[in-house]
Amino acid sequence: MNIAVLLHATHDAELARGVTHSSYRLDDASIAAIVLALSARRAEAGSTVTGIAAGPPEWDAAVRHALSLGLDSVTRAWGDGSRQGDMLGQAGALTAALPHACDLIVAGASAAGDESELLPFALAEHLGWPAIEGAAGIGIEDGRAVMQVRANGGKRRTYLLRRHSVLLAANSGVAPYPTVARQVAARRAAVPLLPAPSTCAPAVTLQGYGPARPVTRHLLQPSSSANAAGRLRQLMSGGTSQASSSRTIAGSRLAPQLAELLKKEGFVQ
Amino acid sequence: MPSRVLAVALGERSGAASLVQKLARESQLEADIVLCNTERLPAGAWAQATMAGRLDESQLVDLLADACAHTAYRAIVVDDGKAGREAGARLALRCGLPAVSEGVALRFAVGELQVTRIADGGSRTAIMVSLAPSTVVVASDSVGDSAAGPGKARETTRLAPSPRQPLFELIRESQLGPAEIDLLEADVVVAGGRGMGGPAGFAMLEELAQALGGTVGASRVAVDAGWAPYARQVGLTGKTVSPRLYIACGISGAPHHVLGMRDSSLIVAINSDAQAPIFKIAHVSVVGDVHTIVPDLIASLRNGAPSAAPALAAAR
Repeated sequence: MNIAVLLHATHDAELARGVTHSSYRLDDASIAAIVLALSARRAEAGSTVTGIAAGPPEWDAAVRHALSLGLDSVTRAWGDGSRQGDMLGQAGALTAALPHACDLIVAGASAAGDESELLPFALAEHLGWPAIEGAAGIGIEDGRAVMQVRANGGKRRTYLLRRHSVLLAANSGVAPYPTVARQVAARRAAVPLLPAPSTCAPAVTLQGYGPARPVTRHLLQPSSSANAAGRLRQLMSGGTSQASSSRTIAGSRLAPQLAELLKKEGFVQ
Repeated sequence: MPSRVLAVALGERSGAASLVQKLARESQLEADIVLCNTERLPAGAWAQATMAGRLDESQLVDLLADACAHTAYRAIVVDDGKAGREAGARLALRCGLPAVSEGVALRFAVGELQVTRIADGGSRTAIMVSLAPSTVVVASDSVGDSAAGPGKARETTRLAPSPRQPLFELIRESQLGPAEIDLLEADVVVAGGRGMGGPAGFAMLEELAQALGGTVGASRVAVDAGWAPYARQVGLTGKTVSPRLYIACGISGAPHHVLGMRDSSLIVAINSDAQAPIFKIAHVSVVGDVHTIVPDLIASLRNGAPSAAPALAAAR
């Protein structure tokens, strides 16, 4: 089985201060994808795992790190007209970078920025393959390759592993520790560069950056209508109350009322 | 330039609908909506609502591509989630449209669509400008759903359900026990604190978690007392969780615990102290003895929830 792993690097300011001369590292989603791809290689003897990335030259150190984790080979696709966040262009470039007779693509479930969380699905659409999210393991049962997939409600589904599909790895598993010999070999290895075809002018451009979105904006922001004691209580409970949507269950038969509510909300099958 | 925008709502709480309504109001555009997995029309005025019922990702993409072929949309905004990301990416590729993910705000400025998106893992936002006549935006899951209240649609279309073909052959499905489900992946977390009184109380919570297909969490006090392992600790010094349902049993609601669970979609608090701070953030407050309520709740869930008192009928 020829397996391709989608690699994505993320900027890490801490790394720039180190000795690696690179400020990019593999993101956690890519690590999870590598772990899953390596389990697939173990399950089926003779399989190969190739890392593919569509990123700038600054990604080379991260791509080499992927090689040191146990991939058989890596390829990076990039061209003069390439641009981060150009999902259509990147899907095309990655399709060109796929290994010959590729059977399976493994990607991370999500990644930070650059529309990389959409890229596995775009690649699947480009190839006409189905995609499945939450893949947690690949193994052999009764001589057949199967995959375990996480589902809602703490369920695990076991599917027959379908060739020509895109698997999105669940964020689990611990990356193998690269031995020093592997690290040295990866550092010396050349990362083949595949010139990405130039695409038409980018339709979406970055205009600038703004402050982080205050997702915890109510934190430590008590209600202005509360008195001093009320504000203190709100602060102690982590912020303003959610009185607008709260309900109190009172009276007798508390448990049946609560069970009915959970049923109504869809938590009871 | 097209004068319509399309929201694709994939559940009852839709961030895409909220973004599109705001954009349509500010820019005097007509807003259409496609509703999947829900019949509840989000708040606001909609020109056309399509009730699509339950669709798989490929059916949804076919539907959206068909809609885009017949109507020119300035922006197609899809809810986040696996189905939303897949539909957005496949639609963009099929129709040759640019796509932006993690969108938190949309506006038109001098004829250009400006999308504010989360960047660098949330440490800042990026402002993207689309010059294309149409753009696919996948809304961030941090966008709140639209205001309460039913929406109105000038025209409603209801699609007939079509059979779904499974893309992958299912061999079997198994239910993991509460101890096997990771706190971070659980949809339902039943957490206990000092009020559980000891390991026996936590055994009861495991039963409840089992009945709800969830896992067990614990406050720092309970972990320090040795009633639950550290891997189960929720809070500032433990794990930060945001399940669909969080049931806090015998937890007072200290700030360091609240910070680890306050983003849960539905928080139910059971505590005998009516003044406990946990009730300030709970969506559903149950004042009573946890040692009585939890066993009764387990029994109710196992026997099928009986009809509740009418007072609860309007809850949430």
